[in-house]
Amino acid sequence: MVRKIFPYVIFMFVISSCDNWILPEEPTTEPLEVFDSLWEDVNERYSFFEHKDIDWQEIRTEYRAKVSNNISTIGLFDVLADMLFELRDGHVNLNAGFDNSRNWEWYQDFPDNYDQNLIDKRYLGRDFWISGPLKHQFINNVLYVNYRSFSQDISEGNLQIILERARQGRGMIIDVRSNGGGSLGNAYTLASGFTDTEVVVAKKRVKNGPDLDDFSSWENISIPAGENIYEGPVVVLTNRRAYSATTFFAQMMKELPQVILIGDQTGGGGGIPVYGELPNGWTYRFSTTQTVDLEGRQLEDGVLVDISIDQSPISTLRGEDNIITTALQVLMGTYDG
Amino acid sequence: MRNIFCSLFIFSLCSLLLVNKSSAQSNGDILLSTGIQFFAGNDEGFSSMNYRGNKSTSTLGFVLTRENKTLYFLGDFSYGVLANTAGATINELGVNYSHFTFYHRKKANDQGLFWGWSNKNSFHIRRHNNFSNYNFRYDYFSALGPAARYVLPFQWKNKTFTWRSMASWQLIGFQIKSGYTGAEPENYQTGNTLLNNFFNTVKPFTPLKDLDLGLSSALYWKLPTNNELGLRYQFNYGKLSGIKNVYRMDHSIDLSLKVRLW
Repeated sequence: MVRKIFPYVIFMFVISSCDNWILPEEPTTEPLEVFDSLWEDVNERYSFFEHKDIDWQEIRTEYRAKVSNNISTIGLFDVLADMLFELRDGHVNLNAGFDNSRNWEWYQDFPDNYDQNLIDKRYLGRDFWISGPLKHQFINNVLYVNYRSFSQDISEGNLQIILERARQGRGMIIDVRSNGGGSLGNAYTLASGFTDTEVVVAKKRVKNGPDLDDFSSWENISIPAGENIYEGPVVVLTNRRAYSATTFFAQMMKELPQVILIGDQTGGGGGIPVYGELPNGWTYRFSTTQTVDLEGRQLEDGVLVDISIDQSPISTLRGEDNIITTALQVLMGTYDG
Repeated sequence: MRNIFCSLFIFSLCSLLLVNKSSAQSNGDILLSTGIQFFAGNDEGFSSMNYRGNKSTSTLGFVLTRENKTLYFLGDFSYGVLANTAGATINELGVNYSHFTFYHRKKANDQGLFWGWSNKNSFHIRRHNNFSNYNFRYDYFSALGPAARYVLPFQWKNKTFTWRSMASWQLIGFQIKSGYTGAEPENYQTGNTLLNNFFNTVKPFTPLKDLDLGLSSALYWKLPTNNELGLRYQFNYGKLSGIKNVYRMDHSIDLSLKVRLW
């Protein structure tokens, strides 16, 4: 009996220790292999090479020459970060624990157009309401709503409070300037307060293969129909630091007939980022989708406003946000262009 | 959902009645086991890194031994956290339902080698804990293939033991799994009906290209009550090919109880 079982036990012992040669071989932590892992994943899944006219092959040649297997950890990080910088995309980061690479040129070269101190002191004052992440206050009978980050969840209850309050006034201003984005779910929730029918606002497609033009078919992005909606006039304030989910929100609101966008265009961030990991433990992300508005314009380039206006330093000095002043004039019907 | 549960209840009741009708020539056993599973896997949709870790696993099964064949109906569940060499983690959950039929027309059903076939339905979901988007992926397959069973009863110190081994190789069937990016399978369309999406996204489980090999070996001690207590080792290796391949391999050790119903 033992003779029958013994070969079987040996066989079991062998297969129980064979996972290293059954599973695919992992890339090593050698700097050149780390470089290749990152470059290849971006090459196969990044969605804006054509749109931004980026020659990723040429970039590989340039940056790979800077890497050797003797390069220091920080040296390797810098080369990889510089390579990713070439993508000119705020949704691209390399996270090594000790640093997080980024390209923030989408707002750094433009006017701020937002002053938090001014908003706090002049417009919100001391007796503003706080409904979840939404701060709101009446300014000249118009409800001013300030939302700092789409990462902060808006509940249906929070939304209904601002909609009910807005009905008591002449209009509503939603200030999402310098809101860097967050969850797209919050953008849908907030926008659904202004339409009782589903509204198609954009189209999205995702990379579905390694070739440059491997994309899924375009799929509609729609605002879901809301309940107890606010039907009055709405102004949405944006600037270049309004990014990612905020860009999506701006596009959603732009397609609604009672909404006007004022300020500067949004910073973009129309590609949803996918994450990846390198053999040395560093993680990274980059855009893997494209989103276009109904005219085919990429949201990656930002959403354009209906009335373009920069914050005036003179207004700021006298304690006024001239972008909010313009919004109030539009809602009161006194704006003369 | 209530309708599904009602249908399942009626189906189970009918099955039980049918089983009891033939009980004169058959045995029915319930199989319960629980243990630990060492799991290693790689989903190219996440990264090229392999993930390893321990999962808890449990099996509930029914074994029907008839005059000329033995049928196994096995459902198992496993869950655990896997990690790669850099410390990133994935939560992995697996649910399998397997059916085995072994024929023994002219042999005693409690000793020797028996051939048959098996069908395995396997569903695995995993969530990457270090990714914020596209951090959820899954796969499902249903496949058929040959199976073998070896049974060796023996006595030791006046106790009765049985060594039972089973092997299966899933060859042909179908699969649905997450596509190039994120959870949705290739060709999935949000607006489509469930049925349309099923036909658009289903892919064949192709012999050799896709693979599922299973092996289990258990030593059972026959208790005075005619039930059996055993220690079971299981090995499984699977590969689902596609634009992003999925590999997995697991070894389980579990404590098993076989309860004779009739």
